[in-house]
Amino acid sequence: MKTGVIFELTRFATHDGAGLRSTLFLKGCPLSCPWCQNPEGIPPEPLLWHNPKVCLQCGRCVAVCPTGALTLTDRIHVNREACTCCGSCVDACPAAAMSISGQTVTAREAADMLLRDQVFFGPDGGVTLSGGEVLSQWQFAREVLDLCKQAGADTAVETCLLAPQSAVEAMLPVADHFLVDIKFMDPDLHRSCLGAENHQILENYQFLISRGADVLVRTPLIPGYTATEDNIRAIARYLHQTDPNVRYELLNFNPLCRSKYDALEEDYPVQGGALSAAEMDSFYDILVQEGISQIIKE
Amino acid sequence: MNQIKQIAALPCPERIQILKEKMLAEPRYATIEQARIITRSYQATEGQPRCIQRARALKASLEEITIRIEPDERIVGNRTPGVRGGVVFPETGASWVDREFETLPTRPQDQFQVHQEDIREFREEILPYWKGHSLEDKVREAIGPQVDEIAKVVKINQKDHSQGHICPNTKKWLQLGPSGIRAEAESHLESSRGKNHDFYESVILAMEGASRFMERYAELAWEMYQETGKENLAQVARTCRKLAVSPAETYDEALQATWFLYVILQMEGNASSFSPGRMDQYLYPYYQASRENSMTLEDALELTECLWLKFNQLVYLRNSNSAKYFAGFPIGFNVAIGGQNLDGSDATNELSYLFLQAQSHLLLPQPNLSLRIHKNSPQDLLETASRVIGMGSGMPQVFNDEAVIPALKSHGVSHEDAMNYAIVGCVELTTHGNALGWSDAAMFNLVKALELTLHNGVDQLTGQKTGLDLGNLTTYKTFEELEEAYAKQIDYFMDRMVECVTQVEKMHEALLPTPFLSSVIDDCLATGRDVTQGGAHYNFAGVQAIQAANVADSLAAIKALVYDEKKLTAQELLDALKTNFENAPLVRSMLVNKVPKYGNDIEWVDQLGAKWVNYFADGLKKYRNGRGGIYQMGLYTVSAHVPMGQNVAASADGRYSQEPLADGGVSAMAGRDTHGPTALLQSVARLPFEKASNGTLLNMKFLPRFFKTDTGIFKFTQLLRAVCRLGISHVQFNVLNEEDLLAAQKYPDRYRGLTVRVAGYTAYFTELAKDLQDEIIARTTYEAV
Ligand code: SF4
Ligand code: SF4
Repeated sequence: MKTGVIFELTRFATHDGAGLRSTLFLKGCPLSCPWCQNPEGIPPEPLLWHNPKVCLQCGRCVAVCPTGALTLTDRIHVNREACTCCGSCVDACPAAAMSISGQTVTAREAADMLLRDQVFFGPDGGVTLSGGEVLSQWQFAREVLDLCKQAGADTAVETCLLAPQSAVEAMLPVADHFLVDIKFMDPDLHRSCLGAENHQILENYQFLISRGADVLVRTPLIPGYTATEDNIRAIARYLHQTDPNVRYELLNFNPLCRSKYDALEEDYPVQGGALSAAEMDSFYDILVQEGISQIIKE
Repeated sequence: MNQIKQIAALPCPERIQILKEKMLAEPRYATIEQARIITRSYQATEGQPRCIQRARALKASLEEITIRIEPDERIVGNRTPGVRGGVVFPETGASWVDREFETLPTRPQDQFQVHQEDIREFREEILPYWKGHSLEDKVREAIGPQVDEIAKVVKINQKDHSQGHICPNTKKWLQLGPSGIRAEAESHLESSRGKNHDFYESVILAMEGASRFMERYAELAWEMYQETGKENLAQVARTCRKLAVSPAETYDEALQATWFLYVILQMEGNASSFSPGRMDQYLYPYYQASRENSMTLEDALELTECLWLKFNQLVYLRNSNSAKYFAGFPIGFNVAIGGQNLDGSDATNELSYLFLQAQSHLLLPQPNLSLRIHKNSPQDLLETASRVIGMGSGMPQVFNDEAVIPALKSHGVSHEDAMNYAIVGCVELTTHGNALGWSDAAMFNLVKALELTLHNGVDQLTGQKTGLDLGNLTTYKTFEELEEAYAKQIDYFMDRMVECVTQVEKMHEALLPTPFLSSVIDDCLATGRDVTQGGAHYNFAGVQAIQAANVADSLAAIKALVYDEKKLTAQELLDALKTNFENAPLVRSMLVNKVPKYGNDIEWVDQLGAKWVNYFADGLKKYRNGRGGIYQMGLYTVSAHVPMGQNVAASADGRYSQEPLADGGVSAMAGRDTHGPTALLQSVARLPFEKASNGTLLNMKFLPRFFKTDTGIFKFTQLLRAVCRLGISHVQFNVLNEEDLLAAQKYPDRYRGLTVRVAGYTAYFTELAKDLQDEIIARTTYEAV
């Protein structure tokens, strides 16, 4: 049985597909979107997570750390080079302010975590795999979804589609729905901003359409990045050409993840907050102009 | 059903808005008018059998009490001339009124204005007659010390007011009316002897009073009609005149008759909660008849809302201590909608939707609207109800047939009666029209019992030894030894509790026979016995076990940290508890953070809660109540988790001394359920709902944004269906408002489970930076408008 590395389970997920769902987040992503909502999901290996909001500054963690990775000044600082994720500080901390993000589990264990809430799924809810990038662990993902399908659950995959086509193909029999993120149409922008080309992504998208997969395309509207008229128009045009019946959803920017960057002692590059209703409407107008008929709104 | 859409589009009638504003603007007064009438009547009937004395006192009240009609009213009747008056009721409690009369306008909870001359009259002319003779004084005389000795663990109820929490047979009342019931009593009169004879006579007197009460309203309405020419008053006059002598036939007559029933029940009993139960079922034939006879939907809604307003005009005057336990003057007109027919088919009808629409217009505390759901509940009903829930009045609350019906059946209720169950008061379960449930016999503080067990039976707040001394945490060598001691402690207090409850019931039988109520509870008229004598078909007594979450969390912390992992010594923990964690913040932090908590779908922790709740329920089975029926367990506190928490010193779940316990009944401790609503529900579902046939209470909180979209509403209905599948008896949903979120900013500990669900991930509100929190608060307030 395959094992995989996961970093979070969201139960009662209400935005990752139809109905009530459980969503499991897999670690590792080939892109590095500057606005990423789950920065802890990007590196494939585990990561020590410190939550300064609940820390009592008692120093117990500093005392037990075998590698000297921790220092306590105005707050606890983690030297990530030195930390080996041994977990000693997690055990010693009386406040649950330390945790390891990233846990290796078997496909069976992962499926059981997802199916624990099966009683809630109802006719159209189910399980969703997200990340990170699910396809970076596609063999594990396939096995997890297979087990969930066997148990009768509806299955969905959230993906940026940056993966070999064989990986995408492997998901076809086990995933009932694909939630595909398309961020930029312009290949140069895609490369310079996210660290990889987008032609593989678009090829995979066309492949999914050609195979009749159930696809919902989503674009996160990030101020200063994706939320430009040119970009949204170009994506909408491309989508409509590829699939006249495309279902397309614009996700309003959500600044809440900034708190995660604070915890990681990193700067969050996106300025500003969510788009106003009027701004959202002007983007919806573009979709209509480009012939998109199935605009999905929350 | 096209009707559903039509009903959902009906606006709030203008008449209702006028009446509502007027009602809410009127100040609330405590009144002694009925006390004066009752006292005089008693003085004139000295030496007669108690039930006759009481019936005559009621009759005199019905004949003499000042009545009033608002010019715009279509449904009339009240027991005080002002709305929301607090009725001083000397038969049950005069001494506490004497002690607290002056403080009524200023006390912290449930204030009433007073007239100074009333205080004087009460002290000089009413109090002397009742001193030593009211229920309150008699109970105190008989068992005062016993009640006080156990008070921190067991709160004995019904000591100074009549027993309520009853769902009368409204259907019968509508079909017979006072004259029909009187005829029934008369038919028994001749062949009966002694006490039975007195009983029938008392019923006849009560019915005479009821008819006269209705006539008086007819007379007043007619007078006012002649002055004003307002058509609604003429209609009221015709209806009241008819109801005084014959049964209801139309929807407006049925609503008016229903309201008279509840006003008179309160005039006789002055009790917390007489509940109409399944009004959408028994009123439906009248509704249909009127609809076929040209009543419009608009008219039906307006009439319904007139009654809805009425439900808010009777409030209940409690003593200050009791007001803490049951805050907000609840008098509990509980109306149940939906549910099933006897054959298991869905029972929803147009009235169910009409009632929901009325609720969405008024958003007042009464009626306490309850939705019965089952595995085949129609999606339309769940969606309509979800939208009303999203408006934030906490209603309708949701009851689950799949859990409640089996629970009732396993406590001796017939299939037929179980299928037709209703709710009384807040969340107490009952059969319809044939039970005296005595649902609030007592509240048992299991968390306090655990405190005594950990500390040699010594109350850590007072230093007095009030429990059994079985040792302390350092002398129990194993967790099992601790559990054995805990079981003994519970047994000890349960024994003493039952002795007290039995005495209280005896006092009610001797002092407070209720002929009017008995006439609408089956089998009283058939057997010639008052409800207080056990005349009802079902005779239960209910005790609440409080509070599963704190017991589970405390025992889990002790088991894990002291016995299993040995991260704390027993002495360390005891010292920390004794000093309220003063010099041991890290010990407290470990108790809170290093052991999983009830409400997070962690089986072994949840099972600890379930185990003691089970133990308690099984213990109750050993006893019979004063009317020969069984005891049933409930798992609810309403607002009592606050005063009951004040009775408990620091506990091993990390709760500070005198802080509130977990709320509701089966909810998790505030802020300790951090894995979302599904995990909470999975934990809750591990409690033995089949044993909690007296009722349970689960509170859940949602942000208003969840209800803003059709997808959100749909997902919410899916959650309701899962509650149904999980077999959880009850859940009530609170929609968080700005105030709650500001509180969450200030006291993050109590709101640690509060999440903001966004695409991509779920954020814990309390872990967000302040400016982000502010933004959510701003948006919540904005969206709520
Ligand atoms: S996980 Fe281990 S190495 Fe890393 S900071 Fe904690 S104790 Fe040190
Ligand atoms: S042990 Fe925990 S609470 Fe103490 S300083 Fe370290 S992270 Fe903070």
